[in-house]
Amino acid sequence: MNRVNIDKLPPDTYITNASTPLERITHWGLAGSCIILFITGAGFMFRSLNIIQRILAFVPGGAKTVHHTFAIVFIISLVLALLVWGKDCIFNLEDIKWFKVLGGYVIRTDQHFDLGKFNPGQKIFTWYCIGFGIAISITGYIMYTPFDFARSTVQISYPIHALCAAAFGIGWLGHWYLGAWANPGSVASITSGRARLAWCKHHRPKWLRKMQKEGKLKIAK
Amino acid sequence: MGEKVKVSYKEQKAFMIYPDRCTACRACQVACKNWNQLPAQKTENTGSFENPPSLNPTTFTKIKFNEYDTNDKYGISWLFLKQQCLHCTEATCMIVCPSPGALTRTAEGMVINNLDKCIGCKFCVMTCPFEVPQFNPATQKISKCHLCHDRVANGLIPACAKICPTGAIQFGEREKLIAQAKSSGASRIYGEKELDGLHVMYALNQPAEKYGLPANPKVPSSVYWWKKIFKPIVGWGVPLTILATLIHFWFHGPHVIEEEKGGESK
Repeated sequence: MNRVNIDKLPPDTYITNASTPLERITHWGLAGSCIILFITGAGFMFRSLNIIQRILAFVPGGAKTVHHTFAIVFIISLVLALLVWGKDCIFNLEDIKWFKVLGGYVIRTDQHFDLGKFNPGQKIFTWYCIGFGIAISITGYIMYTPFDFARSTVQISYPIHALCAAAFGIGWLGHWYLGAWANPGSVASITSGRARLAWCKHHRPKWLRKMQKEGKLKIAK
Repeated sequence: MGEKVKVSYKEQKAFMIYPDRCTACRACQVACKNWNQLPAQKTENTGSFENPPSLNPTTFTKIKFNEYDTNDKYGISWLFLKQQCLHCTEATCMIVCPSPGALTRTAEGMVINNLDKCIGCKFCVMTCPFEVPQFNPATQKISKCHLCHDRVANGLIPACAKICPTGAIQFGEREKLIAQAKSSGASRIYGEKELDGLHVMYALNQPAEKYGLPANPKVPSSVYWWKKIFKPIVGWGVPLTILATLIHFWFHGPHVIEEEKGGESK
């Protein structure tokens, strides 16, 4: 067991297992498929973006094949997301304090919160992705095999699919802004799994204590 | 909603079909297959004279047999309806089609499909109020009547109108056809106003439903939500979100954790 005392470590120490390899595969599987699906989907939705279909014309079946193929990656990643993060994204009482000031993300505050692995904003975004992800997957499948369903079911699937696409397009930008651009240090935790101790103390103190107690922290200079 | 025909109303060509004159000889079906070089389809007798049972990828037009009880010595009779693409002005297929050029409109108002551009998404198949476009699994493309636009462009009339022995299929200038049908005493000119005007109209003397036509055809409301509500949310929502992040970053900058330097977060 690798017991370390986080209070005695210098703040520039790195925690190297801020995310597990499975979490990183899940995250980037979702992110990559989502972006490709959004771009190819936009190519179908907007005739002015028809260039996307023309660029992908070299693929047999064109952009449609690309869209359908990455939909499988998306659905697998979505199931993994639910299994990997579902438990960590259950809301608790500490989250209420966070919600009162929206975590200090929109209007910056100096308030600290005793948060676990994910802050309530991340929890909301996870459920947002899972909720819209399930809806977009089901409607997508109906659109893929429309003759297996009633016409009315297929017809209602089209707007729901578009609504979910809007939710993902907007949600992804918000996620990228808060998770990467506006919060330096966060990206590494999901790319390499490395996060500075100071970043962990600030963003996920309860998780840090739990990991320390269980002797699961992996550190590096 | 929808793409309007960009020609003057008088220039539009159309069909006026008189179902009461139709004898269901189905010469129109044969002429259509002949002109378009479509193979015959092997079907099974299911107890109806109607054959084939529905429009399909190699049948652009067919006569629908609407059977009804007559309560006389014959027992039954039929209302015949020539089924085909109705070339709507507010054409759902053109609204939902994601591939530019796959469905276009001719100067005469016909909606024609270009197989080279069709990506086989089946959107038109599933949303057409008249359930006309057919998906061909062999080619992964849709097929439907194109109102013999190639013949019309060369001064001929469509093959089905040419062959019809009873004069049930009239082809010509849309406005003249409507005037003629009105003077013939038809109780309803189906397609005069429906979906901003169809280019295949019916001079009916019975309620439309009895012919198997929707009484009040409309673009499905789901298409309205899809193309008029949620599509603009994507189109505007994404750039506006980017703008919002830029504005937020401009005023607040990055969220730097000062603990790393021994201070507090900002």
